Amino acid sequence: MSLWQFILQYRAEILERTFEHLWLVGTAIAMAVMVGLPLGIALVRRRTLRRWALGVANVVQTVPSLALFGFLIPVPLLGGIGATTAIVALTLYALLPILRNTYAGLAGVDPAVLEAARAMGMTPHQMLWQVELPLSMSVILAGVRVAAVITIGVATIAAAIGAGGLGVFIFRGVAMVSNAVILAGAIPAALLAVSVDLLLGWVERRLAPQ
Amino acid sequence: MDTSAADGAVIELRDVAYRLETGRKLIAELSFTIAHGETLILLGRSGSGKTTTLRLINRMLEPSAGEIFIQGRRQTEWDPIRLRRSIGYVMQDAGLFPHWTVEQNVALVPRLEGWPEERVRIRVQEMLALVGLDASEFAGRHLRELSGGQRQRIGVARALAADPPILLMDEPFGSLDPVTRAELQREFQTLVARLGKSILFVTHDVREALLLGTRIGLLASGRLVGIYSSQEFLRVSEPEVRAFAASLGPDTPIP
Repeated sequence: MSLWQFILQYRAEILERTFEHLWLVGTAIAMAVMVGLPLGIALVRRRTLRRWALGVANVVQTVPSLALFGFLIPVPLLGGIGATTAIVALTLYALLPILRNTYAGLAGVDPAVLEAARAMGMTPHQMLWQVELPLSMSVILAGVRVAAVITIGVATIAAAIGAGGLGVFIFRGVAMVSNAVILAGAIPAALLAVSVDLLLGWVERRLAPQ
Repeated sequence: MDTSAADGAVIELRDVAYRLETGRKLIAELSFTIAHGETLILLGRSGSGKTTTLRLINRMLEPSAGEIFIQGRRQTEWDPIRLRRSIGYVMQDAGLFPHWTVEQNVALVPRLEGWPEERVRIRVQEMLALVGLDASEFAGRHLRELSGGQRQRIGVARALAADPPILLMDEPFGSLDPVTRAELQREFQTLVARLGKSILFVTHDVREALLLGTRIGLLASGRLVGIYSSQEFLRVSEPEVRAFAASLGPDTPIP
């Protein structure tokens, strides 16, 4: 069966798997932002925490993704077969770029601007929300963008633990020794990565400080 | 011994010292007062402790010893945020917020203080007019569209916006070209005469010190060598003062 025939015949399932894939990635990125952003803010203020957190996040990133999925299966609550495990693993993967860029963005704010903000009588809270975060937003967003692109790729492996997504076609194609079936999963995944990259790149430029 | 502030002093430092954690002293036995409406110049070489003194006054740093009185109240009795909002601060590189427009920068303290929007708007226009910028032309601009002199003017407007009784100025004209600097110095003189603020003005430029100050305090290695009027300053034989006076050059007319 050619690729086109396959795509036509299975377009409904391809669409469904694409949405599944997006849902896995979207949830993982949202969770990574919810954890990574506050943690990154805390890292600017605490040096010891910084070494530990960035170290741990670095190590997690080096664990081969298939192994990470495997490790999580026997873990209670987070683990098991299915989407939850996949989302936890993807969140761990997305965490490092978001954490690192949040820290780098905040640490890169012009010290003269911070000095002025403090001297004008801004509270630490006002400085964070009105000065530090707006000025580092484009760097933080660049981290989210990298995280999203990585996660879209890694999420194809989630099919191995029954979490669905576009990886389903890839694993099926490998088992069937059919390039057409592999490509039916790989092409949408690649397109997804490129479009998300372009979209977030555009938002990033819009937010860049003047 | 009286423990309250000297009469009429808006700022008073008493035997103030500031030591780093390493033990190195940046400021030692520093005492002076600034009267209402007075401009005291703090003159000194780089690293003599001028900026440290300013940061001690608005409590960005805590003194290691001694006492500071602001408007008759012991500094430690002030809430640091309230204290800083009643002290205008102008920095060498303006320290304006690059993600905000001119209007937003100038309106910073009034908005923090919760002024009604209408009053903020009027105040911003007044402040821009005060520093010689046309509000209709500049209010909506971004910082990248401004020259160094214009930024510095906006720095002054921002510092004055909430009408603080005290102004701290950290080499505000130091990074400007000579022509713009002279222009801003002249305007600043008129402004000072009009506003009646108590000002502590830090500089390493003796010409600027003689031009702008009611009195000149000379700081060397964190210690106050002395406080002089402009006339006295050119006559005293103190070596550090002579060194500064000599930097004027032999043929320079005294401003």
